[in-house]
Amino acid sequence: MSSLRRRLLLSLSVVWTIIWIAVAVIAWNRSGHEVGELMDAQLAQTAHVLHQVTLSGDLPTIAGAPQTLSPIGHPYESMISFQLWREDVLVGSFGAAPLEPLARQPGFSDQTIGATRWRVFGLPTGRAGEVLYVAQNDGIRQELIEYLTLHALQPILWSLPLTVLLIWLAVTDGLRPLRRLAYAIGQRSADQLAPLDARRAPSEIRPLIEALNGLMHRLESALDTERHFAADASHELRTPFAIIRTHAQIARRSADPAERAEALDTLIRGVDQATHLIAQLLILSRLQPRADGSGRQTCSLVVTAEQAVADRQGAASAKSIELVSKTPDGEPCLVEIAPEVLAILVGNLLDNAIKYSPAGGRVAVTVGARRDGVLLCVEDAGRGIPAEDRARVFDRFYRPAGQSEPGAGLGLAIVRRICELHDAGIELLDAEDGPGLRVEVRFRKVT
Amino acid sequence: MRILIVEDDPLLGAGLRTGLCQDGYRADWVQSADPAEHALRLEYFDVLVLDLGLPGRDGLSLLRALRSKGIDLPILILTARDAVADKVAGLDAGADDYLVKPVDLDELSARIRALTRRRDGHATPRLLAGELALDTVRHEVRLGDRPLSLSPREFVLLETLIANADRVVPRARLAATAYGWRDEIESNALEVHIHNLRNKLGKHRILTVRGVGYRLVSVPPQ
Repeated sequence: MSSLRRRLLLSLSVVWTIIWIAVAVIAWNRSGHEVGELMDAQLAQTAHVLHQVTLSGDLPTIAGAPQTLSPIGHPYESMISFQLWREDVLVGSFGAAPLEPLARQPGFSDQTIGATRWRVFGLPTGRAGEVLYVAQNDGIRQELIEYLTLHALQPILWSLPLTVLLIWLAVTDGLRPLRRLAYAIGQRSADQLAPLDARRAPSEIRPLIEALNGLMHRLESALDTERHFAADASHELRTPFAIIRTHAQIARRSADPAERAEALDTLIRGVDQATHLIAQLLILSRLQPRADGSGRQTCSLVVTAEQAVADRQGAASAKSIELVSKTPDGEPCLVEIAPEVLAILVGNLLDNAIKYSPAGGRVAVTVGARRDGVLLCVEDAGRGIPAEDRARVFDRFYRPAGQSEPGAGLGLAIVRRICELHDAGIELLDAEDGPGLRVEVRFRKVT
Repeated sequence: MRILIVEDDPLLGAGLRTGLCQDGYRADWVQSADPAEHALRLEYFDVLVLDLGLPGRDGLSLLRALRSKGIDLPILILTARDAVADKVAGLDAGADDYLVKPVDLDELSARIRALTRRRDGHATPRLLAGELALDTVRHEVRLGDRPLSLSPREFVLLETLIANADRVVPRARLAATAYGWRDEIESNALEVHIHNLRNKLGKHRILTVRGVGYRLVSVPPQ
């Protein structure tokens, strides 16, 4: 499992180490430079003092083996030496100076003699062919540089564990809003889908909370649809069940065979009514938007409309209604809806048109391609719908006054829901000739 | 007894009418609020069975309109709306009883009987007038110890007369009680039934109040 805290700690530690190494390198160089300057100045100063001494002629021992050091002094004295050369002859030396010349030129230079590295300053004394060399063992310089650098950096190195601890605490504190969020979500029951409070959350977590809120909103509306379905079903099924119960009782009580037969027939119609209602409710509840846009389908409105008209010729002729369709030749009029959903839309409009048209009336279905999409038009010969009722007839279970046709009041609600989900426009208009209703559905052009 | 049913569903409306007629009531049926109000203004009904979810004008608004006009017949709401709030609203608007669909026909009949009994000021289903006793549940009539055999229409007429014993019952109300809209009424049909009742009960039990109606006397003059 990946841990945010471990990742943060690791990356912070790596960065911290790189910075520490960089600081160490820079400090090493800096102190090396400063120590070098200081010691070079010391070398030069020593050379000048010795020069003054040689001028006064009090030069100590001349030539011979290097002298042993005086017991009074400092072991580091062996690190410093000098030679006085006159015309390639070693006139005098001191300290750990070797027998060969420390250098061949005046000024500062680095020399390796034997196993020892020397920093040498050569100073011509002014007498012909006479050069004074003062040298310092390079080891002492390195030792000093190391000592200075390490002592400066050690406290920082020791603070590493403390730093890790502080980072740990800071990261733990920084992750607290996440834990609070986890707790808040963990405490919720399945039906608590109110949005989470994003105002107090840090800006890094806010997108997460907003995304969660979006998800909960979608869940809520899906649950709402389910609840509506259950409520609608239990409420709207009461009437068909009342029909079934009443007629069953009439049949049981009645001694008259004709009355019994009629009651039983009605009972069956009540069952059909309940079945139809459940089917319509299920269609309505299943019409859900596909959030990911997957499963997009296109189908031909011409084919669907002609099929719907063909399927309803029997019902239409039973009422002596002339059912006609006008579709363009060779133009499929594609729309972006699943075929079975489009069939429900066209079917519901046609069923309504046939139901509310009087015997001998005419129901016309027209399909046509428009510049910006496809137009479906269903015109009936019924009484039409008054303008003030036109907005409400799309509501579920709304049934306008003065009609006696049986129905659940869901047909147009389903049609509108399909239109909403597929970005289609629907409009109720007066029929072009006669008092009937003209329903126009405009589908978007398939892209 | 005459009942008006207001129910928009054609299958259920027809069923309720048939079922209540089987129970000996005269039941008439309309599908929306306005015809119901019209019928109640013009004719006499004993009980109104009212659906709330009507197309156009709602049942509840019809109920309030009737009560505000002082129409005080017993009203029974029969609806699919089962929420407590709906029941409270219905009863507070002036309904006398509230039933949720689907309903048993026997229960509906019993509740209708209970409503009319209370309206007439009786607590039991046995109506008494002197030696005359009428049981509305068993459809039995006794004069003293002797059971009487009555036709359904004679029973309904006698029920109304006993419920209003010693008071004058208008002729129109009696006719309404005995005949629904689907019944064919001969002009003297009511008189024929009253005549038959007099034959079974004794001449002086039912008096004619000329130009107004009839009165049943609990203790007939000897």
